[in-house]
Amino acid sequence: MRTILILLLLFLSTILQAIDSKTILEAADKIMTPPYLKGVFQIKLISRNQDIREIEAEAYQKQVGDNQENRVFIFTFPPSVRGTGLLVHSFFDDTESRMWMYLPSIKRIKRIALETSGGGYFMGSDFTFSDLISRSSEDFNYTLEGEDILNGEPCYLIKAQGKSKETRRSVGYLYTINYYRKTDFMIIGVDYYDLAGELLKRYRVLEVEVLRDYKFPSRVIMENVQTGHSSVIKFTQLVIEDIPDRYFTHRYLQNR
Amino acid sequence: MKILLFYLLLIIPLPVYAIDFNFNLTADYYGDLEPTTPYDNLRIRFYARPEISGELFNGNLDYFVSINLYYQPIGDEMIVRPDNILRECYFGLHGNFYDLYLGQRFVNWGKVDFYSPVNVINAINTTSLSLDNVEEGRLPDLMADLQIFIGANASLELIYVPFPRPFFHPDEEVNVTIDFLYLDIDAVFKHAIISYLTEPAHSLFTSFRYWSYWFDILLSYSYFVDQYPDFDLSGITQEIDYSGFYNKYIIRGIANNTYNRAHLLGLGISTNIKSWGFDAESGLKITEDWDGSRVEIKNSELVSNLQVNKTFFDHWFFQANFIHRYIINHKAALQSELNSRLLSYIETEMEKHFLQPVESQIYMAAHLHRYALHNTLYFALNGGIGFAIYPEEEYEMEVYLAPRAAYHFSDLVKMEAGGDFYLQGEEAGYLGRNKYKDNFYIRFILRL
Repeated sequence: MRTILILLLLFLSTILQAIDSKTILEAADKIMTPPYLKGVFQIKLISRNQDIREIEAEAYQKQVGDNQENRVFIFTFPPSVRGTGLLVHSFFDDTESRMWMYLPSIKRIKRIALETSGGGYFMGSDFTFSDLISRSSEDFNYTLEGEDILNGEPCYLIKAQGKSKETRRSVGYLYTINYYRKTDFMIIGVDYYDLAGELLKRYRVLEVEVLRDYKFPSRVIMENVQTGHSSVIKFTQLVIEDIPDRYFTHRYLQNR
Repeated sequence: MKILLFYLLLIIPLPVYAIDFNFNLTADYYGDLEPTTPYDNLRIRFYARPEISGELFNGNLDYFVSINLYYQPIGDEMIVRPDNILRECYFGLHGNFYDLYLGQRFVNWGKVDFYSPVNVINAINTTSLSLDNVEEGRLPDLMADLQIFIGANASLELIYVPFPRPFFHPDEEVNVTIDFLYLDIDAVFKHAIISYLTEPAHSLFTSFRYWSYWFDILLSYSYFVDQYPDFDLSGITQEIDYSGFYNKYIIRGIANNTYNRAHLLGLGISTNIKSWGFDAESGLKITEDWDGSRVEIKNSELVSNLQVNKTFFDHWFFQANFIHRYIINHKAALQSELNSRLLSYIETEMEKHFLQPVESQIYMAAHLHRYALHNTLYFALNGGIGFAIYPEEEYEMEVYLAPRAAYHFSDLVKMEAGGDFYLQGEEAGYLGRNKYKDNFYIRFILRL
């Protein structure tokens, strides 16, 4: 009888875990994904010897229907990229993302593959384009790995791993360990493991801004533990308000 | 003078409302590495480019002004001319469904990065010492540019250029002197710099563009003054001296560069398949010598260009261009009253000058680059091979190599170095078009 009880408890605990990971993901999605958002972001690229370079851009994002999210970045600093514009159409299902870049030096919009820009790294930072775009949750297995404390806050640990080898190669990681804060299910940390299974990068949320019913990581750091390079992104002037569709057009990219 | 006055009127009131100011300062040195000649300094140039831009009336009106200021203690002074000081100067008027730009500006319609048959609006500056120098490569034009937007993904564009600028090519003079039994030629073929064309004038460019998930497309039709020169042979006279044993043809006079109209039908497509990028363009240019019978005017031509790119091993960006150029009616018989020997000589020289020496030409260009140290270090290799195909003879080949490197000392300061090497081929070829051939350069750039 005692053995049966233990087995039953184990079985129930497995079900509860499965439900929990789904609940956590849905709750995180609800709290962190506003339908539209605009702001200014500043990236500080910090090398191992503490040399610092900066990038600044205006950013706009908007969900279009249930399956598509559009983003526009207009770079304002450094002067070498000032006026460069990036338009990204990404999708929540398997549909491939599309990207166009306006280059003011040649006055032309180029259609480019995500991998084409800086080997997949966003403007030389430690964030890849893959880190920044929306991806289909259907492509990943999520498993609740346990609980831990990050920066003094209790968190659920969820392992996200691409279901197929192609997905894992596409995102560039074997798997990630995501830290969901217990109090509000917000992601406050991610550990990225490279395709060889070694820890590659650590993402940590340093500041959070509350915008209406949403919580947004307004200052974050991505640290590459293998190279010692890190990137700090700070978002300012964050506003959740409807953005005209014309912002997400090629016209805006070039003529704004 | 009227044009200068127009620009002054545009510029004077702008600083009052200026909201954005940018400044580029560049210093470069070019050295001659031609193996057959002693080392020489080709150029030392200091170059400043202030830019002012701003918005008025809640963004419905904007403006942009940039000027080039040069100090060049060593080098060809061709580019340092008053008409090249003003770079861009235009107003933009923006409505719900249109953008209208008035003033001098650059426009780029191409889909491919190199040898675009569609991107013919702004003329090429052939005095640029490096083929990939986008800062120096084109000349802006005074224009009215109307863009009408049809929904979010399509647009029509209409550009009117009242006084086109011809290709910027140094002054050149070729003397033809032949004194033979039955031929006495003393003629001059001149190429003089013309800043703005007033006769003929008026170029019109139209395009339709469409952007979609699967592909982007460009269709264009242009009726324009071809910026690449033809020659006016009306100043060449021919007389026959019957006094000797042979009838002797006496040819005298001057042939000046002139410009003629052309039609251009263009098509451009871009798409992605997985991580591969494909861009293709094709342009049919119909000159005033469709039947190929006039020696002094370029033949019509069909140019196609396929560009393929992909990033390998996460960091190595590779791009290749495959270009075919077909000269229409290249073998057609010439019709002229000039002596056949002179005509034959002119035909050879003209075809070289027009870069139309053979009926069919193939170019292949490749570009490889990678960024390192989080985009602070950049290095690249550009290469080009051109084949001129002679149907009954061996082909001629041009080879061009251009290594490049750049390092960002900070967000504002960058150093570049590189070289341009023409390993095979003639100056008359497309790749070896530069007046100066093998060179290396070093360049400092400050951007504020």
